[in-house]
Amino acid sequence: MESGAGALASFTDEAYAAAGAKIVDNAGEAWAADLVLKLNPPTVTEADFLGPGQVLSTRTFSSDLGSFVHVFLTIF
Amino acid sequence: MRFAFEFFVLTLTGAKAFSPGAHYQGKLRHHGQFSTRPRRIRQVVPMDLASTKTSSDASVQVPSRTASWDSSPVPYNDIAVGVPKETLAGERRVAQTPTSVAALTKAGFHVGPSQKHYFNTICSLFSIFFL
Repeated sequence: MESGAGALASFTDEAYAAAGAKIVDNAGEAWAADLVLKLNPPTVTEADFLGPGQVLSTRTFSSDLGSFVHVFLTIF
Repeated sequence: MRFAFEFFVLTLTGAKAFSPGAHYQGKLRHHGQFSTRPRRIRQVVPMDLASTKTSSDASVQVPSRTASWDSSPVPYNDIAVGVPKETLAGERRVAQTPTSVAALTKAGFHVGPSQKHYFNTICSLFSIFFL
């Protein structure tokens, strides 16, 4: 769980930690999981965090189709 | 239509399975002037394809390709779930709430970086030391 991930949705880090999540500071550690749960499709910089064997669960389509294709070309 | 379907199925499951003699499975091939005796054609058909190839109706299930995942079950204790911060401008939502995180941890998931990540980090530090 990345630090401040739920801040805009008024969920504090303390609430997540109390629920059993481990709070990490940088995005690289938040992406270093077997299963990554996210809302929006990854950007190109976020796609670099993904390695083999990881599963990413997001929405499929973004409004920006060009960056979507770019991310797919980066992953595969 | 049948040829087109079989070509579609065979190309889906790998180009190696497609050969001009694919329709003569089980029959004897016409032996040429240099072959001494008729030989049975050896055809390599994937296991999941072999069951679907004989049925020619429209409701045939095309076998799905599962790339590199084995089908052995993984216990929840071995799965680390990561929830990164949303980077899209104007996005105020988050993928998991504290309630759903509690449900995940109760089921056995580890919410946080995987052990493999720490192992890789330590290994890369050691590799820098030995370089």
